[in-house]
Amino acid sequence: MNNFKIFILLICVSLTTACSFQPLKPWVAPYEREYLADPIMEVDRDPVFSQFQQHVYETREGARGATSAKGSGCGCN
Amino acid sequence: MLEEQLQPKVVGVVVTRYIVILIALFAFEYLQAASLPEDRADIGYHYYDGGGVEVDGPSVIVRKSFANKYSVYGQYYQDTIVGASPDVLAAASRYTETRDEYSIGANYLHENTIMNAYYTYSDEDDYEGNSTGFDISHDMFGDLTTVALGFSYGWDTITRVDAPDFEEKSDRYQYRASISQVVTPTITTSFAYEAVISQGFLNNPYRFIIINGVPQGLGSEIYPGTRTSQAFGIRSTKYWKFRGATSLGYRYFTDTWDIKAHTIDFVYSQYIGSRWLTDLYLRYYTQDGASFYSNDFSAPQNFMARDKELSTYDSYSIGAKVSYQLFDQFSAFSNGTISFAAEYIDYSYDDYSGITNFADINDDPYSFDAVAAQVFFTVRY
Repeated sequence: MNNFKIFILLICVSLTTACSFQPLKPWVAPYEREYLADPIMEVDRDPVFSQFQQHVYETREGARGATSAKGSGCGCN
Repeated sequence: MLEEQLQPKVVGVVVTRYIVILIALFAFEYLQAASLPEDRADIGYHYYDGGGVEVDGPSVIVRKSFANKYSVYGQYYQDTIVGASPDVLAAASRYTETRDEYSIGANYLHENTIMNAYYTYSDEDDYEGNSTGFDISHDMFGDLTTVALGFSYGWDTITRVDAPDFEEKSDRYQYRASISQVVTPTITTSFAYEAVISQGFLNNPYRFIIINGVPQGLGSEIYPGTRTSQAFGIRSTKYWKFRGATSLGYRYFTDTWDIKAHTIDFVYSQYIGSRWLTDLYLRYYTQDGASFYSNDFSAPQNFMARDKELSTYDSYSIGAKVSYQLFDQFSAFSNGTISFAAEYIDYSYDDYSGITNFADINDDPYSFDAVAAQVFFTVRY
């Protein structure tokens, strides 16, 4: 039995036993996201301010990029 | 024989489809709508003073959504610059110029995906900049994870106010990706990566180099025609039950000019009463200079720079922002706030003498303090 057959067999076993994939349940439930939804958790709360601040830094520094991630990821809505 | 050759491909296709289907199932299992940015308008005034340069000007951003699917925004930002940094002042006179920047953009929301496209135009006497970009972000795994990808393209034209025939071009390609993750009911963490490729005329046409204590002419710097940089950032933010939040960020930067930089910043935010929100900022930045930087070259070489932004130096800053909620409900506005921010920044260079007299080339390394401040008024509707 070659490796690919073993791989297929493992997938079949995992799907038909307790190891099968259950739908992933969020470990932070929607009703637990009150604090995450608070505006104080937003890094870029005031775009007009953060753009000025980044402009001050970038015009005097050699580094550039990766200053913030897009999206809050807080699942607040 | 043929069967053995085909089998791995078939299995590969099946496994790939399986994984794609699983991902799709997870993504839609907990389908919840992402949200567009809030409708708001900001009008502000900013001011910077440091290193012989004063900059000030207004800024305005207006954003409005409609049909629960679209959000559009427009922005105007102006810098009026007076003065000159020491390296420019050594060979030229103080100057005054104005830079105007205009941006427009739009977001489109589809289920748990948000797309954003923008265009920015910047104009000053000797520099014209254009940039356009596209970003897409997607909430998944019960909205605990946000994945975002983006691309921007910029094209600039560089001229000189004292040389009408001088005109150069540069292009810029930016690729970015990020993942934001809810870790606990009070902690979020994000990872960001951005690569930037620049090509064309990348020097400052007004700067010059010094060889054995002898200044060369304006525009004597020689930079490589390309620069590729990579930056990796991580940030973690925690909510504290005394109505506060802390955020700690780190960024590592490296590029093909041998610049390596580290940035660490910390933000502490705190509500005070029902109307005040305060932020305290601390930031430290350090970089190793470019391989072709020198304060005073001993001999000519292929590439030469004396721009202090490419030298080895470090910087720290401390700042604060205070926001006060003026009203809860007023006419068509749901609320309004006024904010004031101020920051003190210190720059200390290892190998740059900020001299205007070239006999002092071996003076102590240059350092300077700067103050950046902004006041802005925000209404939400």
